[in-house]
Amino acid sequence: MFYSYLVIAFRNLWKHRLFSFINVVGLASGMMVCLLALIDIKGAFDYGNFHPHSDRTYRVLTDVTSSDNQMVAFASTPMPLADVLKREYGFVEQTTQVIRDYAELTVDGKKLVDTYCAVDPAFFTVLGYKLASGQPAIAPRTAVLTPQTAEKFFGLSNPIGKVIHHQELGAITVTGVFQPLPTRSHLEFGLVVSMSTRSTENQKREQTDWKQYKAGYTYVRLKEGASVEALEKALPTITARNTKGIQWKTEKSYTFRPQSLATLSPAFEELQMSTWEPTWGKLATEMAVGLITLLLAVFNYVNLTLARSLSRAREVGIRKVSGAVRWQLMSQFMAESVILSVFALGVAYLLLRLIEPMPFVQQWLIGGVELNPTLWAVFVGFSIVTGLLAGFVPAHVLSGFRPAQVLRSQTGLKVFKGITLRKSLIVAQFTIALIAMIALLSVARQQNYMATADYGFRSEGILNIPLNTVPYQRLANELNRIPGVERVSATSELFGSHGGEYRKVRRQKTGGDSTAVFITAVDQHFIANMDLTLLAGQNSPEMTTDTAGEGSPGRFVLVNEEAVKAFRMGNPREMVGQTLWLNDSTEVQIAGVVKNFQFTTFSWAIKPLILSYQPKQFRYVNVRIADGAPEATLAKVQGVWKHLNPHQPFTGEWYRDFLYKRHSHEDDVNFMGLLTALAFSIACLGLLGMVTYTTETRVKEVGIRKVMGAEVRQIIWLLSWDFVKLLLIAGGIALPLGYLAGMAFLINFAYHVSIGFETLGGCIGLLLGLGGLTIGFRTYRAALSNPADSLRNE
Amino acid sequence: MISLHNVSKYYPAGFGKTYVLRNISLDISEGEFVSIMGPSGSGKSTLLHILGMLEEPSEGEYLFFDQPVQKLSEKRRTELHRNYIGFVFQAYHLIDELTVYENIETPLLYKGMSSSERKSRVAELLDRFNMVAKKDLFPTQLSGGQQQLVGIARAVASQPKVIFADEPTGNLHSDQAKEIMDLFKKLNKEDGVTIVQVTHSEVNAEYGNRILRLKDGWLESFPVSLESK
Repeated sequence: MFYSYLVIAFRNLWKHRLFSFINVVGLASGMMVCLLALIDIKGAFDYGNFHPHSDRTYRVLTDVTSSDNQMVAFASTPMPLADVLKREYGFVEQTTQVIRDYAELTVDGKKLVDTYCAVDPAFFTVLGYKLASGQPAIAPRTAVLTPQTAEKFFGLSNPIGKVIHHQELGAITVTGVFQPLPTRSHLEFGLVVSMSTRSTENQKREQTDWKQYKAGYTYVRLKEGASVEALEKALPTITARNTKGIQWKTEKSYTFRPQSLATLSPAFEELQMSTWEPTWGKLATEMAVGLITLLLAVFNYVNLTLARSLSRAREVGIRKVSGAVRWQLMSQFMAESVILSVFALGVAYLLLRLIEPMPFVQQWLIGGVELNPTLWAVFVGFSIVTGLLAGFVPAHVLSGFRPAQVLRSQTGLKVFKGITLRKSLIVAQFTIALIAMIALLSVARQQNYMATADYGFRSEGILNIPLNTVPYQRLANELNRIPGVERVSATSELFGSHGGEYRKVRRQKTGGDSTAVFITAVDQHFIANMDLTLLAGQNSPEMTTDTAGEGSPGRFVLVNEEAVKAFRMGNPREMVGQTLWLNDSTEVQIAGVVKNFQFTTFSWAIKPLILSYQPKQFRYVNVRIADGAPEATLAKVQGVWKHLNPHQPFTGEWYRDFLYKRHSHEDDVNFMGLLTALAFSIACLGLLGMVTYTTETRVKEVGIRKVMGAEVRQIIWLLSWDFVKLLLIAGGIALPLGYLAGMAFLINFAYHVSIGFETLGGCIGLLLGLGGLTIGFRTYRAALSNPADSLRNE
Repeated sequence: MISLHNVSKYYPAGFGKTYVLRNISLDISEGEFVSIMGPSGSGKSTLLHILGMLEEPSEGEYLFFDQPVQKLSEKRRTELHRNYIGFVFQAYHLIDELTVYENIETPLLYKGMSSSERKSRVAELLDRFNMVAKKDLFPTQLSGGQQQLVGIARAVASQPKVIFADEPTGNLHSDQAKEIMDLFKKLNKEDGVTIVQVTHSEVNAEYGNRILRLKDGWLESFPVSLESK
């Protein structure tokens, strides 16, 4: 019996190849997105599963209650906690502390900014990071590298025994290298250094300070058989004992709570000082997107199968009089949809391989997740369930036919009247596709706007070169000698990005009102180089006189118009000559006011800005290259770089390109574009199927009308109008919803594009264009058919 | 074996009812070959469908082997279809996606026969109907007469007590029609299968041993027995 189901299913699929193709491709597209989500979900569950005894190892979280009674959960704890737990509680087997920080490290002139973790000796036994070679980092100023970091620093040579320099921590000796991790883990770092390496006064104070709950992470492994309740009971006592004397400013109190390593990921809550475990929210969103795409394809299946129900009705009748009962027929039809669905899984897997190299997919979804038999079983199970669900409605309808009805007459049988359902499915498909398209177009246009808009400073013809270890003044002098270079300036921050240092500045030394401002260090050529306009005052004099370039911070600063407003001065001229306290000891005088320009991204409105002269903070030089032959000049600039710094590659970049790369996010847009294109093509394929079917069943009507004198275009209109109407309805629903979806994204930006006529019109135009082509293609052929053929035999 | 008492069939039409069959009473015993005749729209097919339990009468009583059919459950009725009743249609109604062999096998599948039993039964039928060479062809590759042969083979596959045939030769030319009617005659005579056919043709009707004439839903009061002629 089952064999017979299979045979007839295959023959049916083959006989109606167009419909099978539409269904397989549609289902495969939807399924591919679901597979991505499933892979990511598996990755989230595998996250950090290499840690030993994760069932009885806990990370301690801190719930901080602020003075306005808001509770915020932190993944971190104060540092003394680990020690107290270990020393005073018998059920604790071991504890370990981890402090996460960023470090700028240098090896032989190579510079690397990476995350590092300072860890105590127990780290190497409590958590599952295994050494591939060498010893754990326990002695002061020792470190263990990840294989990636080791390769970056030392290439293929053995790193053990080599020395890494850190500005604050000093010379650090490499004692070992980790094994590559089997899965991702919540702690991500380039290297770990021994906790004893951190020995400045501040760092030592941190070790005993109960107030600093953001200091680091504490892990506790309980003894075998010990219950977590014991730990839960002990934690409040510890809090009570140690937080008594603390003078809080903005907080009221905090409490601790253990979080099992086994349940770390997927995370239920957002933690501060987070280690970025994947959250349920992210996984649910991905799965939802996948399921919606799949649902669109399932609509197609339901639609096309029901539309063709006439041809299957007779078969149902025959089988029923042959003695089939309803469930047997239902299982036959569901077997067909399951086969189709398993086919689709195969195609989906091929699609998956195709999009796997996309950066978005690698970074966000499937980075490092292996496809194992369990996952394959889940895939196959998923496709079978999809097939069963997709097949249920058609199977239910088809198996319900009464043989006396369907076997009696040979023609003109109206067996299924679910026209409204089928039409609403088409409308739903196009509505979803159109909303996605409008939203995507808004995102893409906003990003393009941010990538190419006028920021108010010059970005054309400006080449930015990161200084790294090269002294600024030497590089500037050399560059100035190149004929094509107009001017060279220096800055601590590239404008058009996150804006740089943000801090409070006061008018008086103590007390008084303070204002948060951005501070960027620039040199005297910067204003001219960037085409900034001085509204009042002048370029600060010190900047122009201090040519040594290594001097102390200048006493004069420039501010922007927004700062004038923030300090409540009437106009720019009044601001000139005023003084500001950058911190307790640094007083500066305002030399001039520059016209407002966008120095952060367009997410924020223009904020107060101070441009000060602090040569030590310079990180980039901006080289203004004369028009003419920029490429030749660029080559010469590279030559200078090579001469000054033979070990490091030249990483200079045109300002335009930097802004474009920083804001365009092409990978993400491409991926979202792919999803939208999938949704749209599924909808179009479904429409094609429906139009094909309808025109086929109306071929006799077309013949009669042509005999009575109808023209081709009248026939096309007759056949098309029903479908065009559906597209228009979809457009009517999707335009306002798409507008809202787009606005929900754009509202995050202080300066954003508007969703105007061109976005909405373009989207609906594309919808009608593609939909119209789909419809016209079929109806035109039907309208051309010779009535003699269609009317001859019935 | 079959007995109808005052059976009527009507459909609601506007405020009244349209009668298709009125007050039909008849008896058919095992081994008979009955032809139902009448002009178009006289209710022949409806009567056949009621007899074949594809439709239910609006009024009256139907006894099949002394069981009241209108009281049977859906399941029990399917049982009867599987084991007692075969159908032959004017338009053959073969499943286009199945081969000749598989079409004949279909009722046996639903009967729950084992694979080896099915094989021998289908082989026997193919042999008997001279279609062994065509067993792997699809219906569209056969002539009308051959398709109807398959239809009959399928109907007799499950060894039914009665075959209901709805204008079995309506789509065939006379040579083929004769062949099919001879086959029915043979099934009736040699296998003792009861046959009830609907037909327009007096010639075909005479293959049977009794003719029921319908007109406007009424059964003509004097059933003609051919033997008594």
